[in-house]
Amino acid sequence: MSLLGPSGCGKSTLLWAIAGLKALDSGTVSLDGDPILKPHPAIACIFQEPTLLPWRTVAENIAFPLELRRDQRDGSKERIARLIKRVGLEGFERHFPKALSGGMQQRASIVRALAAEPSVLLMDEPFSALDPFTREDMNLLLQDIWIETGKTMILVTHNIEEAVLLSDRIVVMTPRPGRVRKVVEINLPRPRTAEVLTTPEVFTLIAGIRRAIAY
Amino acid sequence: MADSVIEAPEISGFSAVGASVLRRRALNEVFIIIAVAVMLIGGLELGLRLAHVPPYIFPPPSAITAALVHGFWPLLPHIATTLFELISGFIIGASIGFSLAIIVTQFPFVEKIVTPYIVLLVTTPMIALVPLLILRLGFGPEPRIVAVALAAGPMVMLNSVTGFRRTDEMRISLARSFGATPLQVFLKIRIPQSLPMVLAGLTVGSIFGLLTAVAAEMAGGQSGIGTRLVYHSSMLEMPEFFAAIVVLAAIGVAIHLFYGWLGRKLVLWSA
Repeated sequence: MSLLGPSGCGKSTLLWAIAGLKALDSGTVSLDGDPILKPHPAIACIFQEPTLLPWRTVAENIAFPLELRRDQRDGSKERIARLIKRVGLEGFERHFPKALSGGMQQRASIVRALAAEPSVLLMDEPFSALDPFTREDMNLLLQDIWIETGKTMILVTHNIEEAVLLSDRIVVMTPRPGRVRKVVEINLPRPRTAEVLTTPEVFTLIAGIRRAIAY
Repeated sequence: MADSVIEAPEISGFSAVGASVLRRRALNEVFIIIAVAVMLIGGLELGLRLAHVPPYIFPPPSAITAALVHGFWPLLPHIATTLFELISGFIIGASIGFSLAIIVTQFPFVEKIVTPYIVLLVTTPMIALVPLLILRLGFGPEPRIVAVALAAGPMVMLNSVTGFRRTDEMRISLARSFGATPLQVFLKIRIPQSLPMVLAGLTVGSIFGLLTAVAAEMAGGQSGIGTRLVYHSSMLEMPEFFAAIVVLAAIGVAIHLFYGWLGRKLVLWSA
C-alpha cells in the first residue's frame, strides 16, 4: 500500500505514528488488535536517508536491531547472509558505510529492516534521494522482496509512478488539513516492470490520481 | 584464454612500475623533508656564528644539542615530575569533565545553568590561581596537579558536551524504531557519535595541561621542567635552557602523535 500526496499532507506523520515514534492527537493505531503507543517489534522502518551508523561496518549496522533486542535466534546469521546476497551486498559486509554508494547504503538499510523479521515494513520516501536508475532498481528489488515474503508494506512517496508500480492500493492524501482524498486499487499483474508504466491503461490511472491530488 | 595470457604480464608489469614510482616519490619526499630540516638548523647555526650572536642571547643548535646530551640524565627526574603532574592532573580533570558532560547533557535545563560557568573556567587562565594553590598546598606537585586538572577538565567537558549535543535525531529515531531503550540510545548512538569531539577535547585538554604544569612549576618549587627553565635562565645558561624547551616540545609532539594514533584507531569511520 502507498501513501501518496504532495509535501505537507501528513503522509510521513501518519507513518511515524504507525511506527510508534509519534504520539497522535486523537485516534489510535493498532496491530492485530494491540494499540501501538511505542515502537512495536513486528514493525520495521526504512527512512528517506539510509541512516546507517558510520562507526559500524555494514554487517554491524544490519545486526543493530537484533543487538538492541538481544535477539539471538538460531539461523539469524544465515538468514542475514542470504538477504545480503539477495540485495547484492556480499563482499561489502566489513566495509564502513561511507565506502558505499547511496543506493548500496539504502539496500543495507533495507536488509537491516528485514533482519528482525518484521511483519510490517514502513518506508518513508526510501528512494527519493537516489538517482532515477538506481531508484528503478530498488523498486523492482522491493517488489521481489514483497512477492517472496508477503510482508505488509506501507510506502510513503510523492512519486505517482512509483506508487502505481509497487502498490495494490494507493491512498491519495491532500494537505492543509491532511486528509485522505481517495483510495485507488491497482489491479495490475505482478511482477510488474517499468514497462507497465507505458501502457495506456496505466496512463489513464496516473492521470486520474493526478486530478485527485490537484482537485 | 589467449586474452588473459597476453594481458596478465602486462598488468603485473604495469603495477610493478606503479609501485616503484610510488616508492621513489615517497623517498623523494623524505629526502626533501630532511633537506629542509638540515638547511633550517644549519642555516641557524651558520647565521648565529657569522653574526656573532652571544650564546647567552641565542645559543647555536650545536650548543643546545650538546647541553641536551650532557644534561639529559640530570634533567630526567624533572621530566618525570612534570609528566607525573600532567598525567595525574589530566586523568582527574578529564574524568570529572567527561562525567559532568554526560550528566549535564541528560538534563537540558541543567546544561543551560552550568554552561556559562564552564565557559568561564575555560576562558579564565587557571595559571592565575597557582599562587593561591601554592599558598594552600605548598611547593610540591599537589598545587600543580590541581592546576592541571582545573585547566584540562573544562576543556574536556566543553568539547564532550558539544559532542553529545550534536546528535543526529534521525539516528535516535532509527534506534527507537527498533525498540532501543534510552540507555541503549546513549551507549550505542550518543557515545560513539560524540567520540571525535571528545577526542578533540582530550587533545586540547592535554596540551593545556602541559602548559599549566610548566607554568605552575615556574611559580616556584624544587622539581619539574618549569623550575629548570627558571633556574637556567637566572644563571644565563641558555644552551641548557633551550635544551629544556626542546624536551617540552618533544612532550607536546608526543601528545599530538598519541592522539593522532588513538583517533585513527577509534574513529576510523569519521576520517
